[in-house]
Amino acid sequence: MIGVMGAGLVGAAVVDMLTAHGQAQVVVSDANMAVARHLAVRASTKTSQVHASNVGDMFATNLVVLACPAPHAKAARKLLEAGVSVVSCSDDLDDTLAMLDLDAVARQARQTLVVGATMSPGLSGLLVRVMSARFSTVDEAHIAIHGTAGPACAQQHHRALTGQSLGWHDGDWLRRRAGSGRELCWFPDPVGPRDCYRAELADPAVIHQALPELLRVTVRMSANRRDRLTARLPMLTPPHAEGGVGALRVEVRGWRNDARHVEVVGVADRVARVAGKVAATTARQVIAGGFASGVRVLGDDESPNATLIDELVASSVHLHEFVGSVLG
Amino acid sequence: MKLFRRLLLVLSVATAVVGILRFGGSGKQRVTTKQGGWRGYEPTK
Repeated sequence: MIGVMGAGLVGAAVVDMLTAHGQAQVVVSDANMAVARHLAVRASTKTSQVHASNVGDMFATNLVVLACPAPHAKAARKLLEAGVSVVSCSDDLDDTLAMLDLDAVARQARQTLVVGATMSPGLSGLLVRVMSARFSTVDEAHIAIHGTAGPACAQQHHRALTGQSLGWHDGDWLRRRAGSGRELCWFPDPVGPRDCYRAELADPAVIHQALPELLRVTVRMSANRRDRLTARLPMLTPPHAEGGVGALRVEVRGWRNDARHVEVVGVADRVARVAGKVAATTARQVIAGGFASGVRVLGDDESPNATLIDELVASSVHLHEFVGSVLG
Repeated sequence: MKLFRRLLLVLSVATAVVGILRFGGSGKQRVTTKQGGWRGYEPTK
């Protein structure tokens, strides 16, 4: 039995993906029980039973997907101590760092905690690992994201433009002001080119955990003038119910055949849809025994990365590669 | 009155120039195979 905490856009996408793959029993909980009940009724099929329940019933499951707003660290610790594996969809930097410190707790409980199983972080680290197969060595990964999932994700991204952006730079953590460092990043169609800025996002922490051999890891987020101007204020207008089509762009640099080589791979799709698919696919792999106990991130060398990316591609996550112009 | 007419003329010409600079040639052109662009990606097995 798999539990899903959070019946928002990402939680609903997780439940839909699990039931589509024939998961017999799914338990959903949400701060708003009416939303959880509505999701349970909508997602139940002849082969999959989805029940709305309170948080206490999550301790009776084999695995819980945390798709609720951050923080997740406290809930993850309690679930691990109760013998329940956890897949977290948090993209909050402090929350992610707190969960990466739960390795001893997870190992002692002989359970798995997968940190950052969303589009960013999550799919970003998985793509870096998959792309690294085309290189002799990789030393840089630069992530850019555009768009948000639900309202909680939009608020998290609003906050991410303030504070400190974390980046891994030549063997040391580099903290730079969020909202600085403008760079024009080209995302797959229909998103196209967007101005992106440093942001307080968790990707560098997760990708460094997955591929410690990388020398530089950065993350940027698309923003316009209004986003940057109002970042330090509360959101002036309520966020949209869904952010719509977003995109992820992963640029990996390294060496191939003794020459410098760069590859860019991206995804353009609804952020909640992709995040839900990544979390659900990860959860199914944890149940299938693909992940060892302890804290895991997507893309680390002990995770079933090939299986994960194959399942994601099979579930209509369309990957795109940027091909440069042909000279001559 | 003459000054007012001149001002209107200058404003309309300026608006037209700004409009041409802003939207002129902004039609989306398809990227051809030779120019490069985004292609489907098959993960390496």
